[in-house]
Amino acid sequence: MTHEEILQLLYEETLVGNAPAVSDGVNGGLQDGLEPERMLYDALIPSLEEVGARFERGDYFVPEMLIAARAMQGALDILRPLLAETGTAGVGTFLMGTVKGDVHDIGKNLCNIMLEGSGFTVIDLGVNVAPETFVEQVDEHQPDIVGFSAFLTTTMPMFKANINALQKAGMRDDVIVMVGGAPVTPQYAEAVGADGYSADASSAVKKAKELMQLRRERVPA
Amino acid sequence: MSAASPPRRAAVREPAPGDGAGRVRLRFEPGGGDVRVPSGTPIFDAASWNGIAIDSTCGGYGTCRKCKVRIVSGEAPISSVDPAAFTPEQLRAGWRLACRAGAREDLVVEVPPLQTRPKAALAGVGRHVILRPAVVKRHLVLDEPTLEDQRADLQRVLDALEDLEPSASVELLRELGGILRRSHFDVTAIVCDRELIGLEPGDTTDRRYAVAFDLGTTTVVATLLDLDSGQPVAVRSMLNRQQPYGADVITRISATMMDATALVALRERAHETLAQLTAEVLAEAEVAAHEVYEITVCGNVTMMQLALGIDPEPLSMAPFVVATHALPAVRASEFGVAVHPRAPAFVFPSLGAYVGGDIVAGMLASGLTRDRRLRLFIDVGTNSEIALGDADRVLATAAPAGPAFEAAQIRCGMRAADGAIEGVRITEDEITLQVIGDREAVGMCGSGLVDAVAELVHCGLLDHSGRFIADEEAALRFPALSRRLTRIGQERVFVLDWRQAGEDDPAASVFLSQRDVRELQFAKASIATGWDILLRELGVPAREISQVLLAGSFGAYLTPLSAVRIGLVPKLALPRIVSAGNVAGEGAKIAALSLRERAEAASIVREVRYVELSGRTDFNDLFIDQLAFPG
Repeated sequence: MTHEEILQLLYEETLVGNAPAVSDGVNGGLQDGLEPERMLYDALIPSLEEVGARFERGDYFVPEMLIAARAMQGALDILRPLLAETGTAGVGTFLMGTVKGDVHDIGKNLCNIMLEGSGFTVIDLGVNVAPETFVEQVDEHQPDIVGFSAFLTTTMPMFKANINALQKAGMRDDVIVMVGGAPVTPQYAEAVGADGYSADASSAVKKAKELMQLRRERVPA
Repeated sequence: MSAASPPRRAAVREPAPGDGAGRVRLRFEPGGGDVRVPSGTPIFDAASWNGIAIDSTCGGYGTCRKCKVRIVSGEAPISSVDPAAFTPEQLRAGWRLACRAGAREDLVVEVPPLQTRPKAALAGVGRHVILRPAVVKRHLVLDEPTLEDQRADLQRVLDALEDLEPSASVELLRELGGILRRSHFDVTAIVCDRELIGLEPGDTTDRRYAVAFDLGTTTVVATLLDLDSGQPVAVRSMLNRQQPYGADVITRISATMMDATALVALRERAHETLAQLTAEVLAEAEVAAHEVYEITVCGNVTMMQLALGIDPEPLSMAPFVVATHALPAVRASEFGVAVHPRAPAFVFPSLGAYVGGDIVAGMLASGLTRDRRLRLFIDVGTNSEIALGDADRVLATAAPAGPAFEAAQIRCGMRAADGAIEGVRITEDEITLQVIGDREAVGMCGSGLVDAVAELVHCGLLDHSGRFIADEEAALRFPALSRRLTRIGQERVFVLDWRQAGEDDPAASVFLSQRDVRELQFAKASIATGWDILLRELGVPAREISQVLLAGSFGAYLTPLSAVRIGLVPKLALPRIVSAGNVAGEGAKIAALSLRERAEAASIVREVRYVELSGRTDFNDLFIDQLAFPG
């Protein structure tokens, strides 16, 4: 197989969630001298982006998204150490949690999977996470982005509480804040002082990368 | 994943019979049949719950001594009132007063023929309810006071009501003397659940009414009941006037969180709704407001707390705490309805923040906790309540199904009103629509959505994962229908009705979109995960379910066939799946008709185990398994 054919295979098998074929393809590619970066950026990530697009128009559903992500993770497990060597790994660190009073996590988990698949290191704090805990964990992990998820209009106000807590701890400017969840709107996100909002898992990845880029441009290295 | 993991052992205690914590079996003779009740239940209650009539005039307080029964087999201890009612020989022969005799072991009980023929009414899911309303009227012709008989006015009345032992309020005293004298001490006393709430001049015993309310988030129903006949004399329903504050309970609660005045406004709107319905049923049946001596109310916990002005915020977020399961004594006036000024309100107790009094009422009306068959009860709605069990044990849970069944987030979704597609039949070359009002379709309501998806899955245009099949395959397999499978922008849609726009403009048609199918999949998977987890908790397979009751204003309109095809209910023979109608409202009626049944509602709250789905580690995996349509 040519390198092009291997990349095509990785793209297609990730799209249908064929995990063994994806792992085999990655290993085969490595033996063939294909660069890990090319497999990640020219096959795996575009494939996961297509998964996201299909999800947005309803063609794909949660199970399809999960098996595609699982195939992707199998590939990443092989590639991660190699990417680390070349310094490619680690788009950034994303700290994620569902706000206090809320125990919904399916949407948040989908975001985690998509973010991981796109190269983020994701630290998931789970559900019903108190503002103090977010502050503590931001302090400990120094993530690039912290994400707050809420599924209910009654728990959305915790976004503001979390941001206030970060402010009080003097950490608000050190971290990008993203919010999301079924009832959340871009207007609401802006009103509570979040840096970004996304409607679903695949746009969360796009938004996260965009915000990272913006920050890099603003903060001189 | 669900097929791979073995069903977990039932987490429910299985006590030995007659140990005081479990259940005992009673057989009533002649010909009354078997019932199982919690150990310690008075024989009188056990009989009443099961529609078996035993003589009584006091309603089970041990004062009338009419409820005589004989224990033929087994032992029931002699109560403190028995020696006054029976001779020692009779006691040795097993005679007891049924209202005081607790059943602590399996018993065979002989019930003598009735002296007074009890009245009964059919209510709930084929339930035969013996009339024993909380409201009792007595015509009293009292001796007028003299210098020799200076008994207090209240005492004079209470003396004539000795067997009922009622209490009285200061509000009553304000009018008592006037009524007694104006009517020359010929009055009718109104006692409701041990309170003397009023006196009326002359004999009014033939007029006795109650209103039963089903206070729903969307729809509110009022039924005016004639307590003498047990029959409804007027029924009215209307949309809850809280609607402008949001369609679902969470939105209404968040309204109270954002605006401090909203709680008061929401309370007022609930009251306006109940007051308007009351006025309408009274006018229709030509009954005076003061002739309604009691109201019964069932509703979800949020509706109850809003109607009573209790802050609902804690209900809306983990850990989901209710203000109270059972309310202290409340008057009807607390619900803003103009009936008898001292009429009490009976409010159904709740099991949890999302298994409220409406579901307890539904369980009562369907006899879920008294039936030997294993039954699954599903109230389908934005928040769906699910209960599973039989006379031995019942588990209940709440599943957040979201608004799909109300067709809220469905592209062509609408309420079940004129122009809504409510039924869909699809064959290989034809599609037949059932439209409310027999007019041109303008959208589809929840049952139409379920039907459309079920039919498309069945014929194969939707695959089991919920995706529309490829265009080429559709053209090959369904030449007559494939033009209906098209796109609006990027999204695939199936056109149900082209309407006037014709086949060039799918956006102007009534269609089902790929994302609509996904919305329904989320909703039905949430419910299916609920009953799946309850089955696992009980350790029984789905095939052992004898009956599935689909309840609620939406559940009643679902066709059992479609419910099975989309996997909303377990795959069982269709006759086992029954639309039960508005069982919550039936429960509210039953409570007005029978004090005994009302006690049963309290025991449901004690006995039914609530299973919390939030935070269960297995929920997500089971949920994802349930997203697909059954094969």
